[in-house]
Amino acid sequence: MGNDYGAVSRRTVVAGALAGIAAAALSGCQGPRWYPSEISPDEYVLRAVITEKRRLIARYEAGVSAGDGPVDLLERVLGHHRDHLAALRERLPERPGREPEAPETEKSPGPGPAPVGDEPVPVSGLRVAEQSAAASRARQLARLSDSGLAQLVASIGACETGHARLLSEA
Amino acid sequence: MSASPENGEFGTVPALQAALHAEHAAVYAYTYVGARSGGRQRERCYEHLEAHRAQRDTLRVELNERGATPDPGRPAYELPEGDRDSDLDAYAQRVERQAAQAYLELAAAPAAAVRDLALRSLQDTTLRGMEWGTRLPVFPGFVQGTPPSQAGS
Repeated sequence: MGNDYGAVSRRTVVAGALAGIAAAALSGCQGPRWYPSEISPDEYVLRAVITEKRRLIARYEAGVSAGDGPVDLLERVLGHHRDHLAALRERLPERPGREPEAPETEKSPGPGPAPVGDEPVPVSGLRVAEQSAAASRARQLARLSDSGLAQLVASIGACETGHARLLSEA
Repeated sequence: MSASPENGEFGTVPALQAALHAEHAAVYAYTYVGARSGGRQRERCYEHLEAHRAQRDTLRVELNERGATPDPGRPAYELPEGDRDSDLDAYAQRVERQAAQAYLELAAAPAAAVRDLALRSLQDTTLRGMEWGTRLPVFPGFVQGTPPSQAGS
């Protein structure tokens, strides 16, 4: 009887362990609730905004290099995005043993963090990109716990809305 | 609902009241400008007056939902330097800039719905300011023009 009790206990333990693994796997699939252990939810959002900024900068750099369209406006907006990127990078936490991010130079180094074509994007495409960026700020704001970072992201979103207006009038 | 801050660091109700104060001032300003302008300036003025009235009503609802009494506003607010078109444009720009500052403050609220309201309002007030001739700021809403540095914080 003692052996039977022990066998049931082992089965229970094994079943419990499997259920635990399944639960852990499911919770890991929830996406927004899961982060690499060393990256906080705020940093996750911050890095996403930084990635978007780099893509926008690459697009404007291509437009300015091509010399087509309202170059003065594109250079002005490009300057705004670089200022945004610098302010966002300043919020990244410092970690011992990890090199700090290189400051933004005149040209984005190498290929962008996500595929951005070499062809200059037309002004209408830039306007859509600005509208999309501004819209994504609302989703990102909802996920931030740091109130100062939330204000920075909100301000950047307002500036991007202004960019879309300027591009629509260009 | 309570009128007290949701956490010990940020008071949503005071920030909503500050935004409401900015909206009262904007409604007063656009009423003043509308009576002294004409043509396209007058049309724009009344469009923006309606937008600010709607914002004022939204903020009143938000405050009521939190058990707070909305600030009734003052009998009068600051007036422009003069009544020339350039004075009225500058007055409207200032009103929108002050509204932007109030909504940026509100964006620090912990509740996602309030942050969303703050973001949309900040975007709208930035666009309205541009329509009155404000050069688009790099960081709309920040009083000093840039966010406070993180160095030493």
